[in-house]
Amino acid sequence: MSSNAQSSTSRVADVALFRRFGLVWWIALAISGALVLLLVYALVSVALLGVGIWGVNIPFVWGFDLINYAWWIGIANGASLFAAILVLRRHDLRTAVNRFAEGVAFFAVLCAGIFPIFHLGRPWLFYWTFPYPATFEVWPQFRSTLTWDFWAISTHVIVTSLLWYVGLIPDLATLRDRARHKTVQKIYGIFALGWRGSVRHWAYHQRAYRLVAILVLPLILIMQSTVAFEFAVTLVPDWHETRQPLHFVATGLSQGLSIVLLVAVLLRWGLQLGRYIDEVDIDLLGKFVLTSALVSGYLYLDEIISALLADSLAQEATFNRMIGDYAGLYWTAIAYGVLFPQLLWFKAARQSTVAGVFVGFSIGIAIWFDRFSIIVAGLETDHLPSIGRSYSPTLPEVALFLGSLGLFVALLLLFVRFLPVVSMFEIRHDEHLEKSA
Amino acid sequence: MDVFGQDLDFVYDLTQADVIVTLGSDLFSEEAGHLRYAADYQKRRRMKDKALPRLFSAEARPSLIGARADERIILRPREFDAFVQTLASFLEVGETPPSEVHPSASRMAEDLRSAGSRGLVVAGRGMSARVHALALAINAKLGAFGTTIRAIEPVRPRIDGVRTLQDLAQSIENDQVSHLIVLGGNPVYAAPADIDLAALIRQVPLSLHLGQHRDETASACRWHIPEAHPLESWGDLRAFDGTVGLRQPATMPLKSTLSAEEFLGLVAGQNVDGRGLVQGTWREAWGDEFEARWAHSLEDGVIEGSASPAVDVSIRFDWRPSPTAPIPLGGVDVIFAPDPSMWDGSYANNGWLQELPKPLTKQVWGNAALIAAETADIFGLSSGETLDLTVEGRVVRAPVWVMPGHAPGAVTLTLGYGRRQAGRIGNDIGFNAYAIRPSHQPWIATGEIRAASERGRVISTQQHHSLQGRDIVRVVAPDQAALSEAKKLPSLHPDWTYEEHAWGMAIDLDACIGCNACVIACQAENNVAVVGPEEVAKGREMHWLRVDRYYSGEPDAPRTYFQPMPCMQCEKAPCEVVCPVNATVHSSEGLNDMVYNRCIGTRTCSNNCPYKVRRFNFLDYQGTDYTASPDAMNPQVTVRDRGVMEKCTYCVQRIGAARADARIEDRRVRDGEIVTACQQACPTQAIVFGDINDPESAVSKLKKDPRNYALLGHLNTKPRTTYLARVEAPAEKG
Repeated sequence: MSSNAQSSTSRVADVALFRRFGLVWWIALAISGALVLLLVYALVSVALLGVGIWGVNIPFVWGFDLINYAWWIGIANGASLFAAILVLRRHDLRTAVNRFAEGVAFFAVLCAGIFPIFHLGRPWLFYWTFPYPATFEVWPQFRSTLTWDFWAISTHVIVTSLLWYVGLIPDLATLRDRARHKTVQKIYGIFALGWRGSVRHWAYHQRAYRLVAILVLPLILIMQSTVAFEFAVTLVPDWHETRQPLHFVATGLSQGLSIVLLVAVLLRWGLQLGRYIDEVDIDLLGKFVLTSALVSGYLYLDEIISALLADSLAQEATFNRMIGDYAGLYWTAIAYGVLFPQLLWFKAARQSTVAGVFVGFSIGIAIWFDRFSIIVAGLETDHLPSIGRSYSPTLPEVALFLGSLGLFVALLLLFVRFLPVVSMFEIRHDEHLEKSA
Repeated sequence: MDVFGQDLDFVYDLTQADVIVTLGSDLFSEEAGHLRYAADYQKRRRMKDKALPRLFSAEARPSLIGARADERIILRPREFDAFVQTLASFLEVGETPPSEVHPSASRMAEDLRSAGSRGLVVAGRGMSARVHALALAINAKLGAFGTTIRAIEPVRPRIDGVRTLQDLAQSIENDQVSHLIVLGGNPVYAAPADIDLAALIRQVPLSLHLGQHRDETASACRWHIPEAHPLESWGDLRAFDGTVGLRQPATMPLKSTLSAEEFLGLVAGQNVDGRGLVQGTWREAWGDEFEARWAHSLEDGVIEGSASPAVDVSIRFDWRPSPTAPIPLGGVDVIFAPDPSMWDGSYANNGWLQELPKPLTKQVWGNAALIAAETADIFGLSSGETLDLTVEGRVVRAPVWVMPGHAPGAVTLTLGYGRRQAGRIGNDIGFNAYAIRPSHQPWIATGEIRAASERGRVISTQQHHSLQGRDIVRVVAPDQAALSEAKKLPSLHPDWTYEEHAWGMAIDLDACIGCNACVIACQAENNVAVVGPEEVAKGREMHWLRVDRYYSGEPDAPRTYFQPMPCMQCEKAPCEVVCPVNATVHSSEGLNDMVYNRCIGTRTCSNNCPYKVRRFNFLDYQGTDYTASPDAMNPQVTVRDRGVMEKCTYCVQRIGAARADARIEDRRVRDGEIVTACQQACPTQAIVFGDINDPESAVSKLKKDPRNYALLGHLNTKPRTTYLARVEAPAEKG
C-alpha cells in the first residue's frame, strides 16, 4: 500500500473513524431507533396476545407478516445476487457498489428473518423446524416447503453475512491500523482477524471472496424460488403456477437493484462520496434498474398470457386480482414497478439524485404491493364458492412493517457510521491497476 | 276448530304422503313435532318401491321446508287467503274461486286430487283461522284423515277458565289480581307491545317468578325462585302426538332449586319430592301394573303406546268457510317469526346458539329485517343498512338483509333479540321485534317501512352464495344412473394401505335440510370455542363443521341447497404435505390427525386446504367472556391452546373409545357402534359414518350408490367424506 493510495481512500476511512456525524444522522437514528422500539413492542404484543391482533382470518391466514417477509427477502436476494455477480465477473461497478449492496442484503435478510418466526401461532417453538434428535422422536416434515424455507433463510443469513464480512476484512484492518483510540483499535482488530495484508492473505482472501460469491448464486435462485414454492405448491388457484419462482426471482432482483440504487444515490449525496461512486457507476446502476423493471414488465405480461392459457378457475383468480376488490394493489405494482422506472431511459434522470431516490422507492413500493396482491388478493378466489371474506390490515401489522423499516434504516445508519461504505481495498486495487496501465 | 266442531290437535304422517302442500308452515324446523316430520319425510323419500313424494311449499319467507320443496310458491301474507280459496275451490271445497287464479294452484290441486288420501295440506302457525279451516277441510275432502293426518285430543288440555294475556292485563288494571305466579317463561320480555306487562306486574301486590334465569320477568316480579333445569329434575311430559315421556335427573342438583312440579306440589300442600310426585301420577294411572312398568318406562324414557289415539272427525254439516277478511291496502306485511337460534328469546345467553349461523342467512350474533330485493329497491336499501319499521304507531330500527326468495311487499322480523337482562353475553344483541308486535295480530301484521340513515351491521359467515356454475352440489333426476366417473388421476404420493379399519363418511345432500343440528352437536362434543361477534365479523368463527348454503337460479326465486362441510379426511391430504413440523399426519385408519401439541401455527395447512375446513386459534379463546364453563366441556377432547390449528377429527375420541371397548371384549368394532356427533344429531340421518374396509357397512353401501361423488374430486385429494347428490324431479311443464 503506497502512501498515495492511502490518502485516496482515507476519505472513506475517515468517514468511519473521524468524521463527526451531524444532526441529520442523529435525528435519523433517533427516528429509526424509535421505530425499532415500536418493532419490539409489536413483536412482544403479538407473541403475548396472539396473531389475532392482526387482520388475518380464515381464509386470509397470511397478511402483512408474509408480505413483509417476501418483500424483505426480495430485497436481500436481489442485492445479494447483484453483488455476487459483480464479484464473480470482476466488474468495475463492484468497487463502488458492493460493500453497501452486501450490507443492504444482510440487513434486509435480518429484517426478513423476524417474520417467519413471529408470524407463527406459537413463535417460541419455531426451532421445531430444525431436525434435532428430540426425545419425542418427531422430525420436521421434509416435504414441506416451509421446512425448505427454514433452511433457505438460515443459509441465506450465513452466506450473505459471509459475503459481506469477507469483503470487509481488509478494510477493517485498515481501520484498525488508522484508529486513534485504543478501544476502537481493539474492536476493529478483533473483527479484522489479524489481517496483515500479506500476499498469502490476499490470495486466500480473493479465493474466499469468490467462493462465497459463487455460493450465493445458486443459493439466491433456490432461496427465492423456495419462497415462491410456499405459494406455488399449494392448491390455491391463483398461486398454483410454475411461473411463480421466476416471478419472485425477477421482481426480487428488480427490488434489490432499486434499493442498491437508492442507497448509492443517498450515500453519494449524504457523504459526498462522488469520487468513489461516480457518474458512470450511477449511470450503469440506473441502466440495470431499468432493465430489471422491463423484465418485471415482461413477467406481468406473461402472467396475463399464462392466465389465458390456464384452466377457468386459475384464470378467474388471476383476473380477479386485476379487476376485483384488490385491483388497486395490482395496478399500483405495475405503475410503480414498471412504468415509473421508465424515467431512467433519460440520462438526466439516471444522473439525478432525486430521480434515483424516486425510482428506488418506487420499485420498492411496487414490489410490496405486488406481494400484497399475490398473498391476499390471490387467496380471494377459491375452489369453493362459499369461501369469501375480506382482509384488511390492522394497526399492529402496520406497526410491525414500520418497525422493520426502522430496523433496516437503523442498521444502515450504524453501518454508515462505523464501517467503510465503499470497499477501500477495491478502490486501491483499481487505482493500482490504472497506474500500472 | 269450527270445521269439526271440537278442539283438536293434528298430527301428520309424512311417511304416507305422496303430495304435501305446506302453507306458510315450516314443518321441518318450527312446527311442533318438526324433528319427526323431517325424519319421516326423508324416510318417505328413501322408500325404493314408491315414486318420490312431491312437496309444494307456499310461503312468504324462505324456510327450510321451502328450501327442500320441489316447487316453492312465493306469496305475500295477504295473498294466502285467496290462494287457499282457489285451491279449495279446485278441490270442490267452498265456493267459486276468486277472479285471479295463481298459476300454481291448479297444478297443486291436480296433484292433490290424484294423491287422494295420500295428499296432505298443512297450514302454518301464522296463518289465519280461515286458512287453517280451509286446509283441514281439504284434507277431509281428500280422505287424508287416517293416512297422512290424524286428529287427536289436544295435547295441552283445554281447561275451562283459561284465558289470554290480554285478559290478565285487563284484570290487573281492574285490581282483580292479588297474587300472580309466573311459572317459567319470560312473559315480560315476550309479551306483545301493547301490553306493558312489567308495569302491570308491579301493580300486583304479590308477584312471584319461578325461572331458570334472573331475566326481565324475574326483575319485574317481587320474588324470584330459581327453577331447576329439566335435566336435573323429575317430571313427565307429553310430546306433540301425545306420547308421554318420563324425565329423571341426569345429575345431582347443581344448586338449590325447585322444579315447576315441585313448586306446585309445595303450593298444593303435597310433598316436594319430584320423584314422589311423578310416581304418584303414574301409580294412579297404572294401578297394579305400576311396579312392572315404572322401571321399564323410566329406562326407555317414553311410555310405549301412549301416543294419543286418533279421533274420528268429519266436517260439520253446517260449516262454510268464513268470508275473506278485507285485504289491507298499502303498507307492508310484517311477519313475526321465531328465530332459528334464539327461538323466542330463551337462548339469548347461549353462546353456542348466538354464534350458530342461521340456516338461510348465515347471520350470527344478531337478527335482521329480511326483505326481498324488490322491496329493498323500492326503499333504496341494501344489506347492511337500517330501516325503521312502524306497526300501529310503534317503531323499531333494524338492520336490513336482502333475502333471495322472500316475498315482495313483506318483511320478516325474527323474535328473541334485543334483550336487556339475558345474562353475561346475551344483552343488547340485535333488535327487539316484540317491541312492535301487536297482541291481536301476533304473527302477521301490517306496517310501514322507512329507510334510516344509520349504518347497521349484519355479521354473516357466508358472503358468497352462488354456485357459479361449478360442480359443488350435484343434482340428479330420480333414477339417474351413475354420475360421470372421475378418472384416476396420477399422484406423486404413494397410496396408503389399511389393514384393519378405514373410516369414511357419506353425507346425503338429498336428506340435509340445513337445520344446523350437526354444527351444534360438533361444537358440544369437541369443545369448539365461542369467539364472540367481533371475532366472527373478522372471519374467525371456530365451527369445525359448517353448513354451506347455495342459491341457484333466479335471485328472486332461487333453489336453495345445503352442504355440510366437515373435514374431508383426504387420502391425499394437501394439508399433510405442507406442514413443516409434522403436526398433521395420516393415521393408520385413514384419518387426517391434527396434533395440537406439535402445531406451531404457520397456517399453511389452511392455505392448502381447498375446502377451508381448518380453523385456527388466532387468540386465546379459552379465557374470554364467551368461553363456556369448564363444566360444559367434554373431558375426552383436548381444549386447544392459542396459536394452534384445529379441525374435524371424525370424533376420534369416539372411535378410540369404541376400539377400546372392542378390544376389551375381544371382538371387532361393529358397524353403527361408532356414531359421530354430527351423525347422531341429524334428524334425517343425512350423515353416515363407518368402516369402508367393510363392504357390508352402511357407509360402504352408500358410497357404492350411483349418486355418490367426491367434492372437488378433480383436485385428487381423494376425500373420505363423500356426498350423495340431491335428487330433484325434473321441472314440470306448464
